[in-house]
Order: sequence, then C-alpha cells, then structure tokens
Amino acid sequence: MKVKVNRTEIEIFEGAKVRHAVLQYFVRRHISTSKLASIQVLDAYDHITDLDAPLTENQAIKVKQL
Amino acid sequence: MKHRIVLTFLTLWMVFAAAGQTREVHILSTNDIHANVQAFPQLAAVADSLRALYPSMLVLSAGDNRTGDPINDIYEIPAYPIVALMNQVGFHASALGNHEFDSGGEGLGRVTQLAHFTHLCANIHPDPSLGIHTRPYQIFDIDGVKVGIVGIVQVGSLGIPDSHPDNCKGMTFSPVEETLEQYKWLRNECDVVILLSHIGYEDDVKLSKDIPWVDVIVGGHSHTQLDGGEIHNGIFITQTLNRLDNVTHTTITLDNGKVVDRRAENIPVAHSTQKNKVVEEMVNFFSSNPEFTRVLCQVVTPFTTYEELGCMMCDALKAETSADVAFINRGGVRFDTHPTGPFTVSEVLQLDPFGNDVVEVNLTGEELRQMMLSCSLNDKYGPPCVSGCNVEYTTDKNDSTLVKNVKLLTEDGKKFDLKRTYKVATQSYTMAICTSPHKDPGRSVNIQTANMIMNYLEKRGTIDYAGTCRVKKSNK
Repeated sequence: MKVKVNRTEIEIFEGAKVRHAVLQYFVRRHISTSKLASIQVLDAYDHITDLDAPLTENQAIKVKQL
Repeated sequence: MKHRIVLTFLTLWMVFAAAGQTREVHILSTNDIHANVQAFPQLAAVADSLRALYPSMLVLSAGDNRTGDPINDIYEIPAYPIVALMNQVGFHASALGNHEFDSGGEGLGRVTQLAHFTHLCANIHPDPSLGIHTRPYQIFDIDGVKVGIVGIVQVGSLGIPDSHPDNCKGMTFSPVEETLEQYKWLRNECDVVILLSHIGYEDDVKLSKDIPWVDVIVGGHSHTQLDGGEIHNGIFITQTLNRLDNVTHTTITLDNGKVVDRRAENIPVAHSTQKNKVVEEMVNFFSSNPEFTRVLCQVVTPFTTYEELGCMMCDALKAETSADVAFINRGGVRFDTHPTGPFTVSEVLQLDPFGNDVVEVNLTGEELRQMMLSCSLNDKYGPPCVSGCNVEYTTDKNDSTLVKNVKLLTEDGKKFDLKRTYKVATQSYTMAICTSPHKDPGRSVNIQTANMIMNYLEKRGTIDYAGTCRVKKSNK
C-alpha cells in the first residue's frame, strides 16, 4: 500500500504500522533508525499518533523531531 | 396582589422544575489497551475516584483490548487476564477490535463468555457453534436517561477485520455504513446514542456525515490522541492514543431529554501513582503465569552463535508459512548462546522480544538478492539470517563490515535461479528497513514471529543446530 510520510510517498507492505512507514522513510533518507525513539508522529489532522497504530492506504503522516 | 403572588410562585416553580430536568451522563472510555495489564491498577484507581463523584458512570472500551503483552496473550485461556481485569474495573461494554480475533473464533467465544461486560458489534455475523456472545447494541438506563450504544468493527480489504484469515473462520462481516443504517431507530428510543467504533479516527470523521442520529463516537483503532474530543459534522468524537496512556472522561449534558452539551477531558493513567491494591494483586498473579516456563522442545547440542539461533528462527518462519525462503535481519536475534536442555516460552520471548509480525512476499531471485544486500547495508549487525538458501557476501577490502555484493546459492550450494519467483517469509522490521525495489509490496499475516517460533519448536520436539552456518563473507 502507498502512504505518505512528510509528503514523501512510501510503498509498504499491507498491514504495516506507522513505525514501519517511518523506518522506511528514515532508511531512504539515511536517517539513523535510532531516531525513532525521539520523534512524534502526527496524522493528517495534526493529532499525535502512536508508532504501533495501523496504517491505511493513502494515509498521510508527519514526523516531527522532539 | 394575591394573583401576583401565585403567579410569581408558579413561575419560580417552573424555573426550578425545568432546572431539575438537566441531567448529565458521564463516560470513562479507553481504546486500544493492547494488553497493557500493568496499567490496570492505575486505571482502576481513576475509575474508583470518578465513580465516587458519578456513581452511574459508564465505562467503555472501543476495542483492541488484547494483543501486545505475552502475560495476557499466551495465558492458558488467551486474553483472560485482560477480561478479568476489565470485569474488576467495572467495564459496561467493549467494541470488538480487529485484534480481538487473534485467538480465532473459539478463543473469542471464550473471552466473550467470561466477560461481565457486553461485547458490542453490529457488523459481525458469527457461526453460533463458535459461542461468540456479542450484541449489536445495548440500551443502558442511567438514572432515567436512556443511553443506546451500538458497536462496530473495522473491515479490511479481505472483507474481515485485520487479523489472520484463519482467525475469522466461521464469521462474516457486513460493511459499516450499511450496517449502521439498521440502527437509526435508536434515536427515537434513546435520549443519547453512542457509537462504540473500532474503525479509526479518520474513518470516524468521514462516517460522521452519514450518521446524524448519533451524539457521540467513542473511537479506537488508529491510536489517535485527541484533546478530549472534537465535533465533526455535529458529532462529538473521542479517542485517546493506546495502552492506557490516558483515558477520556466525557460529560454529556441533557436538558429536557435533549443533548445540549458534550465535553471531554483526558486523564493520565499509565504514569499515575494512584493504584487499586486489589487490581494490583490480580496483575501480580497473572504476571507469575507458569506458562512462561513451559518447555517447548529440547536442545540436543548447545547453540553457540547468533547465526545458529538465527537459522533456527528462519527455519521456523519458513516451515510455518510453507515459504521457499525465509530471512530476518541479524539484529532481530537477541542472544547467541543456549545450553543443551529445555527451550522455554520465556526464552523465545527473550530471543525475539519485539512483537514483530510475519510478512509474506513473492520475490524473484534477483529481487531477493537485492533485498539481502539492502538488509545488510541497513542493519548494523550484519547480513540477515536465512533459511531455504545459502548466501555469500563480498565485503570491501578495507572495511569488512561494508557489503559490496551478494550471491545466492541453493541449500545444497548450487546456482540459485534468479528469474524464478519465490514465496518469501520475513518479519515486519526487516521488511521496513529493506529499500530495494520489488513488485509485490508484501503483506503481514497478522501473526507474531515469536508465536511461529513457539509453534515450530513444539512440533520439532528436539533441535540441533550445532555448526549450522548459511552465510559466508569474503573480501575477494
């Protein structure tokens, strides 16, 4: 399925969680995956979303450094 | 003068009588508890204090009560600890979340039978033989206010909630919007109508346009933190992250039987210091579950390397999914030695503690080769562990950690067909760190890798991986 992380389109497996899309985004951008512990993820409405939240097709999320 | 006194008295009486018809309904709600049993003493303390103020308060969960802590999920009756704790806290109702199905129809049946609260789900149609006790809706009488609650669960692209298809055998599910049409009449029968929804915040917002007969959506599934609640299309929506970080206290005010106000606040739970002692004792009891020391198999010769244990984990994934090849990133193997003797449940949970799901993907040999290279470059622990093939890595002459090339070989060391398509099993973290292109994006099978390893070891009875090595590195 396709999702957007900070406006970048990511193709990820069906059933992936927010954590997996962010990991893929980090790896593509050569950002250390250890940064996962110091970020906040926001949904399209700017609400905080948990890393274990399920993703749906075409969902857009934003990663904010804490 | 006499008339004026009577008139004033009557007016005052009417004002007070009208004021007497203002009522409040209080709801304590949570969602996506995900088996966080450790936060239940704090949750019970919050519920106790609110109940002291509002004795008729409704306590609701929007589903996904289970899956997330082995204390709960591998209990003899899976998910019984959470149900027992929810009974003790005094829950009135819970939606079914997609993870409520993780122990299959019979497992869900047992859970619904053991619950003292109602499982609400209007769009499930289970085979009666499964013994799943759910209701589509329930009407609660809260001090004379009729509160109707209807439940709904998310339905994915396969027409079932996001769980392994085997877990949903014997059940069918109807679409959310179509189902809810049948419960509009609750508006005429009830003073307050609540939708207990496990479809996710964004879908709750979309749905709010089509269900003007609902007052409040108590939502779950997307683990969204709302600041109390929000109004969308006239409907008040609440949801509060997951794992009992917070709960939501909602106050619905009615005047003359009509809802005139809806407010909500978040109350921190998991990091609170107040605990209910009885519930704390229950958590201690469940945490000392003898299931963790259960022996799965006997180790014949000791494990002495990460590679040997990684090979065993990959063999488990390959066997349990009937895949051609399995691989996992080396960082996912969390210890490197194990003596001869019993291999227990708790050791599997230490070996594979991250709660990763198994992912299936169809890859050509070349796509698989590229994926192995990508995994090696993005996992600081080195090349992935494999089953179903052997792998030769060429590293940089000056830096033995920098992989330059990957060559796949069959299990007996022959040439690997790079054009053929293989069914490959891996885990969710590994899949997420591989950036090489592949046509099939893959799919989670909604089973944790640790569970598959346990099943595999139990079937084997004995294991012997001494000297097993499927990965070779050279700098030539």
